[in-house]
Amino acid sequence: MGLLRVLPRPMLAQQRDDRELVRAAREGEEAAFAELVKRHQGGVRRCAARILNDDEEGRDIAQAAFIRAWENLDKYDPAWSFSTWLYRIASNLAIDMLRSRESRDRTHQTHLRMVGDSEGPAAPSRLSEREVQSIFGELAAELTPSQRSAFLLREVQGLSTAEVAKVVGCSEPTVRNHVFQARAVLRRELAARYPEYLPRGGGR
Amino acid sequence: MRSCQEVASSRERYLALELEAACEEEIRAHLAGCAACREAYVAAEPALRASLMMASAPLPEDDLFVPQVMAGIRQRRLERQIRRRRRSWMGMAAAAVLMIAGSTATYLRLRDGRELSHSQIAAGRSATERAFVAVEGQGVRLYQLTTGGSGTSEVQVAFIVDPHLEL
Repeated sequence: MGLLRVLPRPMLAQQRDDRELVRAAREGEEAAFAELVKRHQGGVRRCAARILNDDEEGRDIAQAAFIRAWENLDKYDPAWSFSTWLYRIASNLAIDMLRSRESRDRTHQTHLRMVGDSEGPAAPSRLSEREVQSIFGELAAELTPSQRSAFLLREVQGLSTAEVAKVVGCSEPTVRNHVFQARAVLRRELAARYPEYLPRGGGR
Repeated sequence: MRSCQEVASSRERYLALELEAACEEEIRAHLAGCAACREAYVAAEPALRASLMMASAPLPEDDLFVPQVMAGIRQRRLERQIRRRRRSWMGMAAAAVLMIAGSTATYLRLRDGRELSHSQIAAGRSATERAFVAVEGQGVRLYQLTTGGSGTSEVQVAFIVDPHLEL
């Protein structure tokens, strides 16, 4: 009579949560880390690209962030969500790049206007995402790196105030303050440079 | 799914960042699909136009991203292994150079004792022989410079340590 042995089957990477995957990756399981990259690459890429206002640079920074995360897995504190930790690494790298870029060529910050001057700007309802991103990139040059990352993480990425505070490394009231200041700067710059995009009535 | 009325009534608290994360998530989902509510929010806060549009924009597919990250990780790991190996190899090479330099110096001193006294007697002048260790990039070279008894100079390469050679 054959003896039926039930062997435990290795769990597929897709079935495990982030913390289990991190544990496996720490033990050297590459497939586990690849699954983490797959899960979080969208948010991290978007975050870095928005901070830098450049998809290609954002992609490079996102890749560097994942590689740095792999190299520092031992330092990851499971009290944090893995995505928050990743956002922190990526946004720090992006801000570093932003600062070096800004100090390198401050004079080139206003050339991003993609809407042709001769044709006039498109109506707000027809604005493409690319145009919005371009205009935001131009206006966001007026924001400090902290204001920019707090605004993007809170308003675009949809992270909670507590998560943004962890990512940016400040208190929750400071995050709110950064977001409110960022909104005020964007409103002011929008009114000065693109008044046609302001809603009728002028907003707040 | 929240109704337009609920979304409208939550506007002030949304803008003040006072809503619970789950509630905010629902409102964002509603705003992404409801142009009328979105315009009402943007009318109250124009800066939201950019954030709402960027938040709902789909990210282009990037099939190469994960393989490229994993390739980058493998490359880093390889570089680290090579660095570690090179460090231990350089340590061994340095130890070998010291041993060779020491034994060469001892040999030369012993030989000098004999030849020096002989040449001093024969030519009435002194001769010097020295060994140099030169580090060029990652290469380590040991030279022996010899001044012959007849007054002509010659350079003799005693030993060269080449890091590209596998031990």
